[in-house]
Amino acid sequence: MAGSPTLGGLLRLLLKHAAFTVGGGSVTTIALERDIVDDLRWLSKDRYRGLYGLARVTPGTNILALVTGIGWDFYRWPGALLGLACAAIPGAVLATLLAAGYEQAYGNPMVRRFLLGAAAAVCGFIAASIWKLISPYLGAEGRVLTLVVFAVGLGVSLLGISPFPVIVALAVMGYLSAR
Amino acid sequence: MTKLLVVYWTLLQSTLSSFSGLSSLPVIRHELVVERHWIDDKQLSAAVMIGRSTPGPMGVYVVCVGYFVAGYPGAVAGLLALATPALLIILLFRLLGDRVDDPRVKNAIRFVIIGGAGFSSATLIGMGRSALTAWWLAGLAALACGLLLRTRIATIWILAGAGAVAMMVN
Repeated sequence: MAGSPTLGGLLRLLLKHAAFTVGGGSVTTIALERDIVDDLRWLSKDRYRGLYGLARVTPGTNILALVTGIGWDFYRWPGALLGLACAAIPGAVLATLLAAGYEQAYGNPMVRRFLLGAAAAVCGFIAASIWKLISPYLGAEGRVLTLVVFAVGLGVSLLGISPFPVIVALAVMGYLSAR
Repeated sequence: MTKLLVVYWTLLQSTLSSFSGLSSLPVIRHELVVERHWIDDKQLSAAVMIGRSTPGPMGVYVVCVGYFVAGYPGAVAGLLALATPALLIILLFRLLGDRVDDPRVKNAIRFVIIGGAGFSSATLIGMGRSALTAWWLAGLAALACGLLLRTRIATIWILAGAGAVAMMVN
């Protein structure tokens, strides 16, 4: 481990991802892991994944819970609140401005054309982030179990069942089945 | 003021009841489109589209919903509703504390992560059906996936490149 970040350094990193990483929370999760775990070594992979697991069982937007948890882990309330603000505000401001001008912008055929390509890229980003999330668990030992749990999540979601009880049930099953 | 509080409370309920992607959508549609008629389906779709196009979480579309209902104050109410539930992780942190490193807790987290990837896959299937309507769009998606996995190019540049290619294709 290379040590803890300064509060300013942490907030700069969160702002960078909030302003420049598109594709939703799962893509940001992987991009943050690359920076915080692989490059900067502020957290171990286990610690980061532990925080991510907590964020997944927190109601609401997972990536905001994750950055709040990361901020809390390093700097308690100042880190949590400022981290949350850095992660939420840039996208919210941009989204509000786009909402204010959306009728004019989306009436433009070139903008609609651009968004076609952008939406395709976002699909690719999500596919990549799904692979990055599950690939560490596809070793020979746990492959079948991983695929079964993955299929449960996919099936439940496709059937339109509320994910909350399923997530809780998966957490309990994982807890009880640990060896 | 009352309208803003209703907007905040409705959006907060929707975000509190969701754990991934757009699963907060049914609550918002029921309350604001069907029951109160404060926005219509066209505005709701626009909000989702904007949420997908901007950096940050896709859940940011609730900010747009707030804007469509009550202008800039509504957007602030949406932002607060989006951010408030994230603080619950601190409660979980305090409850679990150092037990995050316990093998049983780690295995529980493993199950949650893998199951969560399954939920994300369902979102991808839904988005893919509406977004990948031609072979070249599927190709762009595959290329974006490969670039994200194999390179360190920031996603915003990949997205801009995909948009530029789409503008050039007839």
